[in-house]
Amino acid sequence: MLTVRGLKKSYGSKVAVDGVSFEIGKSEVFAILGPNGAGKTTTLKCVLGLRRPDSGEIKLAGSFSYLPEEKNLYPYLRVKDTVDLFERIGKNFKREKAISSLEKYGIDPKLKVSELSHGMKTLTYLSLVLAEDVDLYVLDEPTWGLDPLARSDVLNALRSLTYEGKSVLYTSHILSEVEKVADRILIMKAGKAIIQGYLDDVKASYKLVVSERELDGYLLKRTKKELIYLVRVDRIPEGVEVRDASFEEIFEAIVRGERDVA
Amino acid sequence: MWFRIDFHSSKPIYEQIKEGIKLLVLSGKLREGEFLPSIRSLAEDLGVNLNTVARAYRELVMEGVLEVRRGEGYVVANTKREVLQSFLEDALRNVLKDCKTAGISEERVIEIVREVYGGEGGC
Amino acid sequence: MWRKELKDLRTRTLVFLFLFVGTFIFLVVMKDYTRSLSELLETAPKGLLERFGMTEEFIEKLGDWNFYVTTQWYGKNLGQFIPLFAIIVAFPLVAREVENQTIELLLARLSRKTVFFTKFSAPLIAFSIVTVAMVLLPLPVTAFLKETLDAGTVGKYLVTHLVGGILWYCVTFFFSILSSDQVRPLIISLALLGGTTTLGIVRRLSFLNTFAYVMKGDPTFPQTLGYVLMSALIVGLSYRIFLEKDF
Repeated sequence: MLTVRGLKKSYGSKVAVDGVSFEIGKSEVFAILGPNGAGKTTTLKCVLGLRRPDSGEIKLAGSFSYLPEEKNLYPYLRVKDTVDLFERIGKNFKREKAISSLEKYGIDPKLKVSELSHGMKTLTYLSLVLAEDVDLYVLDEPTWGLDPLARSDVLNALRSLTYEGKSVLYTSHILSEVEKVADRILIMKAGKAIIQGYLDDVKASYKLVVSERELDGYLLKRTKKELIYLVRVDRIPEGVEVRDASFEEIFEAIVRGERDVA
Repeated sequence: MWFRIDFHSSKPIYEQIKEGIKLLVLSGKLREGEFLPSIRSLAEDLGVNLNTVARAYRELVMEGVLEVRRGEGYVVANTKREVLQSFLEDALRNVLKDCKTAGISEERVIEIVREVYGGEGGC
Repeated sequence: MWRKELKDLRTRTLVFLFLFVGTFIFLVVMKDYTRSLSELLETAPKGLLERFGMTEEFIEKLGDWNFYVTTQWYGKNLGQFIPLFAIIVAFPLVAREVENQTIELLLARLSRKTVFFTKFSAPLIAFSIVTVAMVLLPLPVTAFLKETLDAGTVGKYLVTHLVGGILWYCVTFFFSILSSDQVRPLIISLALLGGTTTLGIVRRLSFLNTFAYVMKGDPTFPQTLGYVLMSALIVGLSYRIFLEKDF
């Protein structure tokens, strides 16, 4: 569905994306994670054609919809006018789906967009985007600022999309959510892709090792006596205490990136 | 069909699904020759992704727990109990290793086993 | 997308429309008070008002409807505001959407060509309609007052007002595409307007003085053609830049 190879993008001397490659197939949820400034949004925007990459190949086979990070709709339009706008310019826009979604979230169509709270704006924009019938949904932080119930709803909605053969590409800061809904992940840091693969495989590939000496792994924590490393399963030495690593620990250790190579 | 999935566990979700299905077969709730729900149906019930269920089913087929009937779906195969319960036995082994390391005596362990299985010696 | 663009324009356009119509009504009402102007001249210090061209002769001429409309409407109240109107209509067209980050909504769904074309044309049409209406406004009023107005003059002013206004529309639109905040294209265009007008005082550079062009109502062929070509060039450049720009 989407193939990205060797994507590079710089703004002047600042390298935002430094050689990123990944693929998304049908019925998949693909999550891009990473600290702020890792290049996630730039990657999305290059995929969508909003920004021109300096080099690299992007192949998108199919239609797409986009929920930008800022989620800004036209403030002077009413919600119902915005629905009309989407009907005119949207891709395979299903009006009834949008309207019932807005009803479900309790958004009054007569309100002006400027009168909506941030959370309601997000839900409105999401309702509109998900009402478009496309192959790939590109969402930048879709659950940011939403209450837990709404977030759960949104995740279920994303998952349901994949049941219909559609795919989702999204960025998130919320690891616990990614665990619930992502098939494959890409962890980015400073423009580079550091980890990539099926989430289940990534979780199974690393363990926490408690050691007294330095190891080949990512240092997670240092106490007075011990060093706690995140180590690849195939690199665990003999005679050390091994524990399961949570996804958060894996993420933190890898992104902090303190490598002590023995 | 439903069992609880822990999304935050270190155990991959497809692994949890495999174990859930094996337990159902072990307890007799799923019988040999019975059809499993479609991939999509189970995914919807459990609240997980299609890929995850697909992978679980695939691996269960490789392990000989399930069989594919072309055009019809996945069906419970005639599997030896050892295959089905090996994952529980591995878990037990790990707990026992921790007990041994912690210095719990073999006698004490056997006392507990008898307690749980309702044999003599426990109270 | 057209409807949204027009809604966007509404306030700016209506404000100017009311301003123009209001001013014109004021002029019509005041036409008979030119006489009191000459009385004013008698009481005022000699030479002061003459500096502004308010000679007896001038005031006499004001009594003539044709002269009155030509100098006070086309040559002043409407004319000097036309470039300003164009700038105000055009400055936020792209820049505001970039600043508010709403442009992604359009670009993710429509081709860049469509977005450019709609954003350029809808307000241009609105601007042109208002301008033409204001240029032609004196005609029915003239007929009603049973006065006369030289149609040729009106025709010439139609050309200068449209050509001059559209030129500034295109210039401002260009800066609106380049900028990532709304205020910059407004300030740059106003500065450019002021700058070119000032430079245009120099004889050699008189073609730069678009204000004079609009208000004199004398659309000489080379100057008019020059402005039109300039507009087309700027639009072409704007388009190329818009196609390649990162958002």
